[in-house]
Amino acid sequence: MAADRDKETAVIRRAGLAACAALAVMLLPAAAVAPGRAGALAGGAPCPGASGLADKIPVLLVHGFTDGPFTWEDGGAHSMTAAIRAVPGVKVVPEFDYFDENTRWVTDSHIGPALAADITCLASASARQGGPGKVIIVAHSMGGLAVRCALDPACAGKAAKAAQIGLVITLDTPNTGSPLAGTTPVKGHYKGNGGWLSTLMASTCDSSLACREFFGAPVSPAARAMAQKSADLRNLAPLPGSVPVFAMAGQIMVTDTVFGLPVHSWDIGDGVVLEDSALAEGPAHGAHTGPGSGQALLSCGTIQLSQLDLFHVSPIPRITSLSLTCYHTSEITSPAWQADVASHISEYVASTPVLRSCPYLSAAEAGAAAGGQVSGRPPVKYTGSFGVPAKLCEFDGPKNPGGGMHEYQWSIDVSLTDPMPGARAAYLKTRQQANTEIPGVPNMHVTDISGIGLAAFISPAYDSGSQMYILLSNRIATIGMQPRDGVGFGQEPPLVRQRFAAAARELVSNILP
Amino acid sequence: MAGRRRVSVMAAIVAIAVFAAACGGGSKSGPGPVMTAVPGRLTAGQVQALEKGVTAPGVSVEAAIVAAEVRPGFLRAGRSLLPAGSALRIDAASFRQTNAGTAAVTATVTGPGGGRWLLLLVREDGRWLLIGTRRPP
Repeated sequence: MAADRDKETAVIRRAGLAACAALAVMLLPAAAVAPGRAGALAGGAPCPGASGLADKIPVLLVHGFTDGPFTWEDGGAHSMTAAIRAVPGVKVVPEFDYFDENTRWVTDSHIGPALAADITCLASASARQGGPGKVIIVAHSMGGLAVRCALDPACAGKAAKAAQIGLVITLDTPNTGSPLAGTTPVKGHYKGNGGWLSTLMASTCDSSLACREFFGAPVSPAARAMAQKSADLRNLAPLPGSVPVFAMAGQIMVTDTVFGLPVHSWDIGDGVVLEDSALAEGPAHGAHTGPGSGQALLSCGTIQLSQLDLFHVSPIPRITSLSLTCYHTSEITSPAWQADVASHISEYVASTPVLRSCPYLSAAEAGAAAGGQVSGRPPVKYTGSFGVPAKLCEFDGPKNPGGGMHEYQWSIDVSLTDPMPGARAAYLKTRQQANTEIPGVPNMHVTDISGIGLAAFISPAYDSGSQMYILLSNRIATIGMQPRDGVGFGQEPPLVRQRFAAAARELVSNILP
Repeated sequence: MAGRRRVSVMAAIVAIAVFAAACGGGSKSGPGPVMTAVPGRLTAGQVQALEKGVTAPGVSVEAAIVAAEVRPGFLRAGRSLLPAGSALRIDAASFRQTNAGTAAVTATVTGPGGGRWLLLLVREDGRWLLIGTRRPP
């Protein structure tokens, strides 16, 4: 209800703007008293929800055009937020909020750039606290375009990094635009600006506030930008290929009969966004793959041409009165859509080990915790005999509750070098396995050299050219690795594996009897 | 934050609504500018064309009164609009323009395919063509 009120206010506010711009200018500041998230971040405040991420992956929800953060709470106990909260191992952080700028294009500083800052802040907080240093994003409609901007330095300036994203879920994001957007006026025009298809779509969206905004005069910057083949869309970079994406699209079929004879059917997408556009950033050609990725075409149902507003004098039928299970503006509250979102988040989480009760430790801290001795300033040399306390840290994940790690009880001398003051490493107790990868964990490899289990992981600052930390059984050492900036396991696994293997062999030959 | 914003927004809305009323502009948030209305009636000639076209001999001839958007589908189906021996009588007085380019009119079919129908029409090149039908409520 509150959400409905808020949505109504958006429309009414715009009506006021159209009616009298001068007064709207006077009134709008009253509606924009809440400081933007970007402002809070710029002021040095931590990003909302940046605590408690040691064993939970942050999930950030990004609303769409003419919408607000409240949309994710629609339905209360049956809201999308509630559905995601029920997934173990995640934390739904406060929704990304650009309500006051929700008809501006994603390049607006309150949208794409602010989202980039949020992602960076949350990913960093996750890494600091021992989490995977990644964020899961669920974006509806234009929210997905905001994510594209946030990851594009040309759009966001200080963009977030692909490595900071675990999974992006898009709900009918108009990646290549919408036939409705920016084509005012369309409604009522048979073969109007957008053709018959857009006429049908316009007819379904009479009761949808988002649709009304598309036809509003003047057309807003975002509506203009989301027109098919717009320059704004062309200028927006696609999501980096290394980012796993689960793209969702709704499908409404409009069927037509003449004296009972079926003569035609039209696929009008979810009424606002056509499937091709919604799935354009889905997994394809090896890009956007990974745990939780995929694409889904969800049937919203079928309606008859005769049910559309086009053939009703009055009253205009509300789309919600038609026998559809989903529509562009109701996807977030659809149980089927919620289930799919939760399922794919769950799939991602299940494949991602969570370092439970395992804060990142500096090399010195780790050495001390292990009972050894540390001397000197970085680079620190540690020489001693120690064994890592059995429960210092567990490599744990939903698929592997309790760890189940292979424990080594023997100890040897190792050389522990920490060439990066402040660099952080974590102790991992590894499963002894010969796999060269832990499935679905893009920044962690397990290898088996000379029958000895080794685990390695890349520090959260990997992309900036940091160290690779290697855990030899239950000992840790750092080895110098200067990976090329921006290269991740998902992008060049052979190269990284070679580097890792070479480094591991060197380490083993140096420290094993 | 959201609650405070909602209160503020509501305040702004109330003010806007009051002003809108005062301006006389109203707060109508319809989908766009009002379209230029096409005169809402079906001429006798158009009625006759539809009535004859529906029962014309041959699918390809019938297709002439079917809207271009669905004509290919109709031709592919390869079936006449009404069973042989049927006749269509349009109640021109019931013609209602529903949008700038769409309209509906009731009709009665006699013969094998008998019954009342609502004909859904679209305007193409100055003519009203059949795009669909449904049973009247």
